[in-house]
Amino acid sequence: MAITKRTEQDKIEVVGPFKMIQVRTATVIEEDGVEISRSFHRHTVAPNISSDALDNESADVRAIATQFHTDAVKTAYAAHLNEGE
Amino acid sequence: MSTIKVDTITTRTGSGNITVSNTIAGNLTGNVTGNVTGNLTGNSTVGGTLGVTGLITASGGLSVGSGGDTNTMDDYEEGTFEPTFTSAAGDFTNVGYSGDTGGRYIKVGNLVYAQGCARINGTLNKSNRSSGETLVLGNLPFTQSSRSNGDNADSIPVVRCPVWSSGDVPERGIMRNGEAGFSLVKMANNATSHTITVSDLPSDAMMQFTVMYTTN
Repeated sequence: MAITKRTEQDKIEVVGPFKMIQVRTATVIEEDGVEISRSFHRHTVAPNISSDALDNESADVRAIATQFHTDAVKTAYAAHLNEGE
Repeated sequence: MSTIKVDTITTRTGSGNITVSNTIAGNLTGNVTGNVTGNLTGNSTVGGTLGVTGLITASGGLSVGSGGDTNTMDDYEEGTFEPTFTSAAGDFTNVGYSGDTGGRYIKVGNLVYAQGCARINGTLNKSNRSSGETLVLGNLPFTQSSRSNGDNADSIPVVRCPVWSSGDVPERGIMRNGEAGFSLVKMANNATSHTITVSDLPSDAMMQFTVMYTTN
C-alpha cells in the first residue's frame, strides 16, 4: 500500500476588468494510485504584483501575467484601488 | 395474459444483453443490493422522495425551482487562502507573517464567503511605496463581480484589529468590482479622507476579517 501526495494547479482563470489571475492549487492524496482525498488552496495574482513575487509563480501563471497585465491594466487597477470612499 | 415467476434473471447465452424495450409498469418494491455499473442515459423523473445515502455527483449543475440559469447551482468549493497586506500600487519590499495568518473560504454558486486573519510578525519594509497609497488586504480567493452600471454594490468586509500599535486603525473594508482584495477605511466625516494608507500600517498589524461577495 503506497500513499502519495502531490500538488497541481488544476485551475487558472483570468477574471474581471483588471485581468485578475485566479489560481487553484489542489493537494491530492492517493493510495496505490487511487485518489482518496483532494483539498484546495487558492491565491490570486493582481496586476500590481511585484516582479519578485511574480518570479515565484509557476511558468503558466507568469506567461498569463505577461500577456494580460499590461501597463494600461496596471494603471487602471491602481487608480481603481485609490478611488477612496 | 400469463405470468412468469423466476428467482433469478441471468445473462442470456449469446448476446450478453438483457433488453427491455417496453415500459416496466409495476413497482420495484424490493431493493437493488448490487451495483449499477452502467449509465442511465435517458431522462428520469422521480415523483416521490429520492433518498441517497452515498455521494451525488452533478457535474452539470443542480437546478432548483422553476429551472433556467438563474435557478441552477453549478459550483461548490471550499478551501484555504493566505491573505496579505499590500498597497494600491503593489507589494511591499518585504513583509513577514506569523503562523496565525490564513483564511478559509466557501463558494456556493456565485457566492463567496471568506474569513481569515493577517498578522505581520515584525518584519515590514514598505520603503518602496508612497506613504499616501491606499492600504489593501489582498490575495482573496476570488474576484468580486458586483454590477458596475450604477448600483454601487460594493461589498463591505467586516474587520477587527486586536493588534495595531500605531497609525489610524481600519474600521471596515470596501471591495469593488474586479478586485480580489479590499481597500481599508476608517470612520471620518465627509470633509476628511476615510482611506487607511500605507503610512498607517505598523509592523505588528493583526487584522481578522469576514467578507461575503459575488463572483463570476
